[in-house]
Amino acid sequence: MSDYLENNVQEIAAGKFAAILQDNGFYIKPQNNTSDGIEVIETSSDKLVGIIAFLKGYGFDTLFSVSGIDAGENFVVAYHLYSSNFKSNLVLKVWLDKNNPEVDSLSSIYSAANWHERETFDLLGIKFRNHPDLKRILLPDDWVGHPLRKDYVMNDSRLVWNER
Amino acid sequence: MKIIITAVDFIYNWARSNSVWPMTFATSCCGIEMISTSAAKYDIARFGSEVFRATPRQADLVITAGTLTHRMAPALVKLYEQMPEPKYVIAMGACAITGGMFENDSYSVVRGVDRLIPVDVYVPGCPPRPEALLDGLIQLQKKIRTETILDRKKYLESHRAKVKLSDDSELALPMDEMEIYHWGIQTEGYNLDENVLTRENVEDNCVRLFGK
Repeated sequence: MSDYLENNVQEIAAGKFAAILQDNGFYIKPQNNTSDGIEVIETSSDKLVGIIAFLKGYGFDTLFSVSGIDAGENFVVAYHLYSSNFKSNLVLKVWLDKNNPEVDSLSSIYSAANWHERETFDLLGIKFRNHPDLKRILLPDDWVGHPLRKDYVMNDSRLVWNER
Repeated sequence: MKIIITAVDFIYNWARSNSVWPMTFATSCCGIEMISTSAAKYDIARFGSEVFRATPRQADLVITAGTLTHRMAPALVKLYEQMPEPKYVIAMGACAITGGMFENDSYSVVRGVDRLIPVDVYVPGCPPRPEALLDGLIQLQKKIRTETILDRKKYLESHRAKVKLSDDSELALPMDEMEIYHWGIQTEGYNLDENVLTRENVEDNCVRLFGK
């Protein structure tokens, strides 16, 4: 959500990779490093694919995690990248609308994103646009709801046999 | 006649109980203990069960080693149904017995494999040590030796798939051929949209589907 980025005026100095992205004209917002010193960058969902494509060309050759977070008012999707050139990690975060969480799929850039995005869709219900095969991966196909959402209540009457 | 059957039973059971071939079915950490049971130190081959078959069609026993999730449940039921008679089940570990630490509040775990398939021996532990699994196997062998050829059909009859009805009574499914799904209730047996499980609904639909 670009609104979120504009309204949040807290200034954090850009790290190494954030500065490189800013020099190349990408609209990003650097965040505090993680406790183990990994750089965190926030961006908006419509700019994500361009930034990731740039980072892959720049040297981040591995996408090793895509995860979703239910942050109350928003959904957050976090992408963890690794570069074997720089021997360093990078975290990209995208804030999404709670009612209509949609973000572009990265599976055309990193094939590893395919199953990670399916898992995020399965457990949090975040839609990934242009994903080749966006269906459930961990739960049965006819499952109702997305269990890692904070407001998830399991009231599927088909599962009454499984109660204690 | 009875003497002949008893003698036949003795030889038949001796042969069967000393070559119980398990199926490779390890869904989590209990599988590691099952592997070490079959390895050199504990050596399940001493009891004739060293042949872990990767196909249900050649297996007598399924050791359900580990947590069973809803996603995996239809696969387990399908594998169990593909095993030839006589077939046995050991529920290994807390997760396979009751759901274990996932019993209380998990959305994804089946609370015990005995809700899906009939279990012969329960081996508790989290995970059980290899000695415990071997003890479970010995118990199963003892159980096999008490069987007679005539009783097996009675046993299977009492282990038929059941449906829990909306008034908390249970109804054994009238047909063995009905496929069992992980919902514990039959998609073909009644109308899923209405979610009404009554004896009449199930029986009517069985008549409609199978003519019985």
